[in-house]
Amino acid sequence: MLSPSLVLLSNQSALGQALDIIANNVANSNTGAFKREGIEFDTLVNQPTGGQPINFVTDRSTYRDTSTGPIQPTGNQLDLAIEGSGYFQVQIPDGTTRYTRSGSFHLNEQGEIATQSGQLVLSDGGAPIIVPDTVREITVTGDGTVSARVNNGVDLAVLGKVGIASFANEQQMQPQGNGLYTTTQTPLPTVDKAIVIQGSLEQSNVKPINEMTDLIRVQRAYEQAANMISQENQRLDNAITVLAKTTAN
Amino acid sequence: MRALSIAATGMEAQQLNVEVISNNIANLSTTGFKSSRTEFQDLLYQNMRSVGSQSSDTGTILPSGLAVGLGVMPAATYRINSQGNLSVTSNPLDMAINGLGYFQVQLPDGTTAYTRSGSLQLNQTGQLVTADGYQIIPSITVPATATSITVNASGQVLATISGQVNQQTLGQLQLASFIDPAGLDAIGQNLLKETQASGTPVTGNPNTNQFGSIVQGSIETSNVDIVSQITDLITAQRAYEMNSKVINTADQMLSTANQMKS
Repeated sequence: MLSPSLVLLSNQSALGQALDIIANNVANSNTGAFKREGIEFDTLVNQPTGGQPINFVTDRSTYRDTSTGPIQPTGNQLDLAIEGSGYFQVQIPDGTTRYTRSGSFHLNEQGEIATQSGQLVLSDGGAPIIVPDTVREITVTGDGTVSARVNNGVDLAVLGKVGIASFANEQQMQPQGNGLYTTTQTPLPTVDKAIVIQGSLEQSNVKPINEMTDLIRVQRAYEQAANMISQENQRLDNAITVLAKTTAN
Repeated sequence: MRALSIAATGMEAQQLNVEVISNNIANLSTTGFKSSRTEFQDLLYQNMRSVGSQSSDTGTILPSGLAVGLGVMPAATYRINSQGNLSVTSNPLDMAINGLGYFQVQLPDGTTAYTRSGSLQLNQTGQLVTADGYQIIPSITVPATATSITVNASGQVLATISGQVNQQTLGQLQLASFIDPAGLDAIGQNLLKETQASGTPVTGNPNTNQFGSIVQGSIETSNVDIVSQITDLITAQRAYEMNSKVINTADQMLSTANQMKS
């Protein structure tokens, strides 16, 4: 008899989760290479014995919009953006590899290319790329080859190639915070769709208008559910009053 | 409801962004100033259903999980070390570095600081000093009898002494470079200090190896690009507003929940 209220409650708790997802998207609207997330609702069917099936709402999964964000030129020679699918490979302190699309790199004190948090950027051979301290200018070409002008700017020496990994199933990659992703998949043998753009950064792909309209939609749906719970409550109230009168007579 | 605290992290991050942008704009005409950029990173994710976990006894796995991110955090304020424009002042003691490198400055406590601001002066004993009176390393003294000073691209300081035909070499300016100049610690007064992140300085003569050349009679202006700073400011303000809108909505939803008839 309470099932209408419980169905609406399941709706409200799922909407609460949806709000958290939107809040995270909005909070990261200026985070480099951030991918917006969406939430999928599903029905959870409960078939009581001898009764009608009841469809509850459940927040089944979140998915990531993996489209490339706008690419903004910065003019910084170690700002790299990936046009197309693919990830930079970085090594975290425990020696394992993580993947990121946020390419705002710099050199660490040993001259190795590293992320803002100090994780080493790996080459296609899985080793850090070392830039000697006599280098004036670093050039990164579309396929990720890093070269530098040495000998007073006369010769171009190849220092390595920034490794780009792409995966069959990007939804399978788990975000770990700090712009890093982890996955159990092995990278695909060839990457043909990714182009590295030097002097640019990929921005967040959050579209503010969409998030704001989603926000309104979630809020109104929540209010509707609350309204219906109130009405359902009133209906029960009426039923109890009327039925109580009938038995008293 | 996590939305309140998630949106709060967003507002805090944008506030820092505005602070960094305002410092850039305030230093628009500071000699040798390098603009900074705030880098953001997403915070941890809370996994309610882990992607890839087993969903049945027959080994099927979840194609996507349920994870809620917990907001944003500022990761770094990154100094952009691009070359500023050279502005001609015709003052013989104004020196700009065209290319990589920093002048070395002796601080009163004996330690060395680094600067790109080359508006140098002479102190009471004729030594080359910064606008704050700190000595340039290596020390160069200009005799009182010098009528003009010439600094060439390689940093040699020459003076014409009254009564002498040939110019006299007073000394050689040296520059320092770092493997990661973004890792230098800015201490104000246009000065930077070495840190573990910047690496140890490599010194050398201007116009050799990686070092830039000296341009006498010019100063390096700040590299702040005012148009991009203003557009960044607008973006930051709007992002701040959107985060406050999320807080507002979360608040209204909580209020809706509170007002439900019992």
